Amino acid sequence: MVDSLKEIRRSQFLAELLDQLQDPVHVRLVKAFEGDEPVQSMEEELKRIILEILNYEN
Amino acid sequence: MKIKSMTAKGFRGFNVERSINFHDRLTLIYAPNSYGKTSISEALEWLLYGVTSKVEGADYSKDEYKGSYRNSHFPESLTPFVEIILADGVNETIFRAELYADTIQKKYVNGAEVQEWSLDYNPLEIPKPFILQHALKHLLLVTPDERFKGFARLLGFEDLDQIQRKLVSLCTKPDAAIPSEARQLEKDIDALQARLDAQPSLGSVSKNFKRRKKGLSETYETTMNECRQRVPAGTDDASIVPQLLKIRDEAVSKFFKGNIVLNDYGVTEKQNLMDDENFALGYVTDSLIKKYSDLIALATIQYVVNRIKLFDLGINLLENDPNKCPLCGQEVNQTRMQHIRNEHSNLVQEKERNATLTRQRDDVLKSLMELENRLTGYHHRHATKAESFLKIRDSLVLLRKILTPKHDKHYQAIETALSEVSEVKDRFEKTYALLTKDLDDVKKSINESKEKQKLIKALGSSTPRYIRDAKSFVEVVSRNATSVSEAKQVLKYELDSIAGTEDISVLVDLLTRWNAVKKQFEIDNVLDNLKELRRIVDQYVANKMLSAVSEELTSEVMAWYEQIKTKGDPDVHFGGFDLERNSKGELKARRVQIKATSYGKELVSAVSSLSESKLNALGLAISIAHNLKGNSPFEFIVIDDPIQSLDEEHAVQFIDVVRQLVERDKQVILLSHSRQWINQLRAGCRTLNGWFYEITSYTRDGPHIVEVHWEKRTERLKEVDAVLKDPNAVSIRVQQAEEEIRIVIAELASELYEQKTGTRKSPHDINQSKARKMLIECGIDNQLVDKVTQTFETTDDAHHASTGYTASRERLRNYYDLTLRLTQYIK
Repeated sequence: MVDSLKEIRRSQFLAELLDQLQDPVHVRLVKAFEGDEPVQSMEEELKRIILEILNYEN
Repeated sequence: MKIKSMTAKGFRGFNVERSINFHDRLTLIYAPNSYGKTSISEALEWLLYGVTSKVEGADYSKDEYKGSYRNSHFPESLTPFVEIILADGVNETIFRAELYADTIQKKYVNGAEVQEWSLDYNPLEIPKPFILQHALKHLLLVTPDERFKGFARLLGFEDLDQIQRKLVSLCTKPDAAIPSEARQLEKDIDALQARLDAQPSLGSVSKNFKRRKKGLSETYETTMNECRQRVPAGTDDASIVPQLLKIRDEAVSKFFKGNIVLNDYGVTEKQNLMDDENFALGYVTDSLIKKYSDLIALATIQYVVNRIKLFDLGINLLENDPNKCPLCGQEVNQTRMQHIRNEHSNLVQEKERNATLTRQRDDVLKSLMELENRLTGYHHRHATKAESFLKIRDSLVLLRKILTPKHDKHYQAIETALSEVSEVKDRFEKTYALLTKDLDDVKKSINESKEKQKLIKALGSSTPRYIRDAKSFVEVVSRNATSVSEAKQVLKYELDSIAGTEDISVLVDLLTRWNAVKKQFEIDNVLDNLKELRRIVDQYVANKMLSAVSEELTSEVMAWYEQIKTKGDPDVHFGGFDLERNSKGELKARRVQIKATSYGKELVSAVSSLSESKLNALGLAISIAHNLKGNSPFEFIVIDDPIQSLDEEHAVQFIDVVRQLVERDKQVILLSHSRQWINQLRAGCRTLNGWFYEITSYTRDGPHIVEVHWEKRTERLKEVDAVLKDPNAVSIRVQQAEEEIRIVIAELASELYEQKTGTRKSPHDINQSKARKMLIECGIDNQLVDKVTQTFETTDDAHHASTGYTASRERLRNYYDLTLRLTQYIK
């Protein structure tokens, strides 16, 4: 129960934080805050964002 | 819900089973340090939350606490457990937690296993009913970061703390997220910027370039303007780069002609090569050798054909005269005729077999052709790889002159690469020549029907030898490609320097790499903006914390702090909570500020201004204030050693705090190492009539817990006597005195019973009928027993009078006399 409540509470905090963000990159990074290794998950998202820029044709 | 009792076995300091009952208002437990006192609060905390604050707060040293829940002397075969009885005024419920494998907790409610305690509350929002001395230190006398974590833990903001820390980690250290391609791009663009900066004539471009994404369009415009100035008037924009390159090449070729190119193999290229290698290496197999060897039999086919023709002719001639040989005229009998027919039949069959072999020969030749084609293509790709680079050997002298001594390292790189590449190329050219010869020999032998096993075996050996040498070539090229590329770049710059075309070269690179420049600026922008993300996260977390500490907690903390401070204290006190701000007035996320006032003046920080004793008092006030907040289902509070760092005066003040908590209907369970203070507390809370335990020793079995009378019997009777002698004693005092009498009678019943039977029964569990039964068993006069046990009908130990109760001095006098008579039975 404690774990699921923690998950809900964490989601509430993140939702409040997302409300304050406008930069789409920031939104994507905060949305990637999940799982047991959120830093790793966010780093992977940031890597994806950078690769998207690198691979963008125009 | 209040706790009625706790039983523990095998947990922390408890080895053998120990039980302790709790008074529904105040229970005091005294023990010197290390006597197992904290094991009681830890057992309660672990049962309710599955973890203790000590382990939870260990952070980086959790491993040190591994296995610490289990008593080290407890037998391996048994299961440690903690059990409590919670009472809500109507029902009693047994909660039991068993410990498995260091940390796994199995839960039982009234004997039935459950997944979670059904307490109908959110454990993240309701404060833990524990005030633990070791936890208080995380609030005040710690680093700012630890203080923030302490407050986060206290307020149930652990996740907020985690979110802030992890997002800041990403924003301040994003290196792990930057792919190698982006790092290379950054390096290239940085180098381009350095070259740009070194060109005074391109100052306007350089200035805009430094503005990165913000100066992107201006950079392009100024670059194009500079280009236009360097090409013939009228050159259209699309022709600017070719025109500039032409100008540069013409200028540079006066000093050096040639191109140093040694490109590494690309991923797709390597994959194609590997496919060819696998094909070639899998070609000369046992199956092929067999197929080839089978073809040797084809050598006899002409002989067979000729013989068949001869037999055909003979058989035809024999048709006219089957009994005579058409060639020599000798007689042909039946047996010989049959022999001729058999021979003919065998030859026909052999011819058919040879037809199969002929098809097989075609197949072998076809697949040899395929091998040859693939090897030719494979070899061509290698051979042309370094063709242009190896031509540089003719210009080495000139190269040395240009590059050394300033760029000796790069010249050496070229020289080394040339040496290594040509050596390995020569080797694989030789093995390729051998391979093609062996292949030709095999083909020729088939075509001439002169197959020999040694030929196909030679091909089987030369193929892997060639592939091995070709792979060495790939390795050498790959190893040298980067250094050659760097040397090429340096040579380019050096030639530009000599020819005076540096500015043109930079402009060309800027335009040809414009897309890469834009990408780099975009990536820079994303990474730079992480600072803004951090700022937003910090502000969000700081505002959440500020709201919780300043709006919801400050006044309550102030009120409790006022209770603890002494009259003689200097006027230096806690002045509320805030969060530190930076020079822009923005909140600092992890800087909880505890303000202080000194004689009306605000001080920067209570931590640096208040004494340790006052800080400890403040820590207690914070914990108490927070604990009373919200709708906790727990009506109890466990306070573990609250006066550890309080001086004597503040410790005395804290007694009032305990009283107030009880008066607010909190069931207080208080543990302390100070006998003197506990005695003061008992005296200060004498009329509360709580229960008092002393841990007298600690052995391998665990703490030895002894129940001690809250107050001596004689003292209680003296108090009753004083009330009786005071004509002005108000009815509440008479009522309290009557309650004292009831407690004394319960204690007397317990003592007399023990005296008679040797069995001790807790006076707290003795009600009217139990007292009557025990006293009669002890041989006390029945009439006396009936009269004294009537005292249980008036009040209980919480001074709750029964319905219709009226204080009576006469009844009190009567009870007092009867009690004195009962005391005479004590030996």
